[in-house]
Amino acid sequence: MNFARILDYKGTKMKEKILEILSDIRPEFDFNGVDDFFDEGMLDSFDMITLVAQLDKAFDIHIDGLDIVAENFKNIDAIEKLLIKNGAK
Amino acid sequence: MKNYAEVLATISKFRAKGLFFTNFYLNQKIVENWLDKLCFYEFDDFGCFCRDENGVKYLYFFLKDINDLAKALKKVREKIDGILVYEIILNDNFDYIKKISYESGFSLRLEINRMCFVGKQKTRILEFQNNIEFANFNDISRILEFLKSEFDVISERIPTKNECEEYIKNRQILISKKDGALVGCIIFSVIGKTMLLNHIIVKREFRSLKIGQELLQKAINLANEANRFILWVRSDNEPAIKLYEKFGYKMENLKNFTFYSEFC
Repeated sequence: MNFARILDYKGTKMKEKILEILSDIRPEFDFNGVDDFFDEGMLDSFDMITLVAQLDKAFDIHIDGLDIVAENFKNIDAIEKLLIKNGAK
Repeated sequence: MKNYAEVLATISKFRAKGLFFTNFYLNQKIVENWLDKLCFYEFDDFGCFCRDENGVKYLYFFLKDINDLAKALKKVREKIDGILVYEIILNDNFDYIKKISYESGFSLRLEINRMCFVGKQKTRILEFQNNIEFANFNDISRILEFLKSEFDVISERIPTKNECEEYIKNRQILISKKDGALVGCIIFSVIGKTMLLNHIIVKREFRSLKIGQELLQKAINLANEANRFILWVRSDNEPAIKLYEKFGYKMENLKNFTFYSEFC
């Protein structure tokens, strides 16, 4: 994992954590500034299940099943919004 | 089920009960095609979607954790008749999943491993010795017959006629012919930066002619924007694994198991 890349990222602590989790799942990709992870082939539906589990664990929440749609995981901003909606601090 | 929103609402109900361990890998497009064949069962301590494909029942569990799987499999066998199939992707617990499946009356139908190459692919073949061309709509019935003769219909997601038409429109099926007969075929998908090899097959009697290598090289050439190449290969298919290793693919620690049980 590229720690230098994470520290350079100008964003909230939540966004930094999201980026760390994404980089753990797919270390070969740079998720910074990407508009749609699924369109770019960076994540697939199995990765989304892994991502949901990792986010639940990291933020101590349970993401609602109705929110588990690709639209809510397509980029870092969308994931941050989703986490806040589901009670993450 | 009526629509995709109903599927998601059912998943919400399962997750509200703490049932987070699942083998239901959501893809909206695929699930929307399943709606009229999909129902769900709610038990005290787990939930399960069931997709009925001509009497073969594919099961998608929502459990507290993997340790509840044995109990869930037994309860499902008591409730649902016919050929029951479930598929699960894991990066550990390989022996455990086999053990609990066998003990619950399910046999291993298929074990496949993911292989991956990351980066820009080199061109490994410059001169092609075999005829390789894009498939057209007239080839579909022969392609499907060919796939069904070599791949397991129950566990190996053979594309439908409609899906073949989509692949052909996107120039993602390549074939090789000898004297007009189909002897080799590759189907692949490109999603952004990832190329997925869906199926590759060469008729047994033509397997020493490098047709497989040339099909793969041409497909890789066409996926020129990709920098991640993935495929699934049967764990015991040594010749195929050797072919993929020639193209830089390496085994990942990720396996997909399909188990089945016949119970009437």
